[in-house]
Amino acid sequence: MDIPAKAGTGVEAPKPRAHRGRRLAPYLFIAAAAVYLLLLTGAPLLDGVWLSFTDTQLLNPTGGVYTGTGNYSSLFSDSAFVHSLLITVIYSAATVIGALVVGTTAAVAINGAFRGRALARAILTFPWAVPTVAAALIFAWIYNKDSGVLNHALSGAGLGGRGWLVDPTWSLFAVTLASVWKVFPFVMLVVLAALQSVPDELYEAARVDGADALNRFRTVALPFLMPTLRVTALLMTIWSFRRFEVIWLLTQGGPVDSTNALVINVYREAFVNSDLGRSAAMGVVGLVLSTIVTVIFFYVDRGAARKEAL
Amino acid sequence: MARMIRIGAALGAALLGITACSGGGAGDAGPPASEGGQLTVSNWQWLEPGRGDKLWSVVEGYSKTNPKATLKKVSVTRADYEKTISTQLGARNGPDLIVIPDTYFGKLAKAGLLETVDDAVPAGQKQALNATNDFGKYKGKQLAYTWETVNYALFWNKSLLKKAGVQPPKDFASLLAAAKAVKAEAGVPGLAVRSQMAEETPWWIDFSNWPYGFGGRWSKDGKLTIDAPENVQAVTAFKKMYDSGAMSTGDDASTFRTKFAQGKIGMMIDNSSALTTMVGGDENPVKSKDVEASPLPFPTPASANTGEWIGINKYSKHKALAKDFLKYLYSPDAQKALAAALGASSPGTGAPTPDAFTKANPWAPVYKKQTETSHNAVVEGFEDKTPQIAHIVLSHISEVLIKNADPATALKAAQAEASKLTGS
Repeated sequence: MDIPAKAGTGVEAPKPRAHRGRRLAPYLFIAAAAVYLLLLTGAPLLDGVWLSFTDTQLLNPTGGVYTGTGNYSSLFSDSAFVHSLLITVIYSAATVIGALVVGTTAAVAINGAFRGRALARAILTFPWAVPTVAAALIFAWIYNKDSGVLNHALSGAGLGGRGWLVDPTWSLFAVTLASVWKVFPFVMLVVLAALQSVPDELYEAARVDGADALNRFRTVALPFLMPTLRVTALLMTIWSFRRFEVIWLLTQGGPVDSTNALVINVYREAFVNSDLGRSAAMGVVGLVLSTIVTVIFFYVDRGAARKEAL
Repeated sequence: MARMIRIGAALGAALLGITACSGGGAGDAGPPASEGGQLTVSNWQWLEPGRGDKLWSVVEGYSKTNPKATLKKVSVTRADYEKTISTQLGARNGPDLIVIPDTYFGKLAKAGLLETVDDAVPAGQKQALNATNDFGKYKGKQLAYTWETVNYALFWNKSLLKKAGVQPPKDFASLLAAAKAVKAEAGVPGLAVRSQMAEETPWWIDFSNWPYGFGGRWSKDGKLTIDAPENVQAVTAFKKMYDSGAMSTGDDASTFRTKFAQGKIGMMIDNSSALTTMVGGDENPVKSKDVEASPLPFPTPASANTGEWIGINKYSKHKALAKDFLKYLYSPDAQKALAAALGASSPGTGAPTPDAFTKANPWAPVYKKQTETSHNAVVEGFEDKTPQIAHIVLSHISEVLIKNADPATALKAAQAEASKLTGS
């Protein structure tokens, strides 16, 4: 649309070429990022979806033949796969809840002024900085049934040892605990940043009104934290769906498939069974799960925003 | 516009160049061996402390017979080996020569990724090849030769057994009794063997000792025999040992091997490579002289072995040179050097272990003798499905060990699942 010159102002309308350039400028600015996303994210994603409809093998990745929905129907008729979906949901929910509770508690604890606060913050951030492989090895030693420090401590307390990584009753709990230890500092740092944006006057007013610490947190801090906690929960959920190293290094999905999450199945199908098609189908199911969680998040978030606006 | 075309042409040329560099054609033999070139050789054993360097020096010996050839090692950890090589071969790339674990050979052979090597070793040298080389055949064609055959045996810490007041076991009952005695008297696990799904591939090979020793097999005459009575007896015996409280059940192999080397494990059923490494470290208190070995204390003399073969990548750009390397490797001198580097395990010929090694490691002949009765853990007739069958069987055995499932019922369920998988 051309902009007409204002009568009597002496200002001339921009020349059509310059106007077109201005209109295109935003697209040019995002072009590099868009090409990057299309090439490095979009193309592999579409390729993965396509693979899921073929019988492609790892040792012959270009020789796959279209098999329709065969991979999906075989997956959903396989009780082991359905079980692994359930494990994924339980593991993700437990890890997210655990990390949110521990992370928020830690953030509140280190938010106030006290001597040694900097050291406490550094120590609590440490698990996030430790490489996952190192963390998994440390937990493997801690959990060792015969010589692990945890069983030594439990035996010392008269509670007896457990087969943390070899007994299906405890393995999912053990893997979840290790995961929470590894990721809670992320929640802590994000919540700590949010806590520091809460005006001191609000705490002061609540204190004057006689609110105790718990009530001050519930009525003053929590409303400020909720948007942050919702986004963090979303990120943690998606990351938990695809967390591989901790589970693989501790149990490889065992014992008796008790920690056999979706990503373990994806890996096993691709690199042990060499079936890239079926593996890609499992990956797509994981993508759909993540998408469902994201949609639910935005639905809940919009509802909360409307409620706050009223 | 003209500039765009020029840039496009340059990019196209670059892509063609990359494609041309990415691998040889399946039918292209490459330049003759006399022209030389660089050969890449993949093996996880290059990373083994003590043995890796000795083995590599045998490989490098080829450059003395062909000075124009250079050799480059491709070292991949055992845990990542199949995955890494599969990914590279799938991209029509990868090392020229591949050391192939027995349970992986069937997959590569079926996918047509190995060059035929019938013509690599001259007829005169072929006479020296032992029977294990037959496992390197697929549909009548030799696709690989034996690199190493590693046998299994029972071995023990002499002083711990003495402390427990027991004689070396000769059958399963005495093995169980000895393990309990060591635990009671010395306060350390009496026996250590793998028992965890977290070590699935090596556990499959280790565990195969039990059904083989009890007279069983995973298949016979092209049919799966997972639930055969002998296998049920073997799983039942393993379960008895697992529940005895005298067996190490929480440690992975790396940990219990370290403990044995420190004198904290009474007995083990393990392969000769592992024992060589355990007693080879200067810092370890348990030395070779402190250890004795015997055949497995099971009803039959059969045991498992782990075989490794060496084959040529179908897409290598240096196939002629790689074949010339195999000709060198199976020459009497190279085999003698390889036998010395392998220690208590055997190469693909009858090349003898040096006397000095046997003198320093008196248990070594026991392992060597197992070659007569040992068998690899590949499921015959279902070679390319072995990893999946192993997963099914070990999952059910885990249920026996951990959830107290009945061995016969568990193996019956494994047989049904594996039959469904293989369509047999």
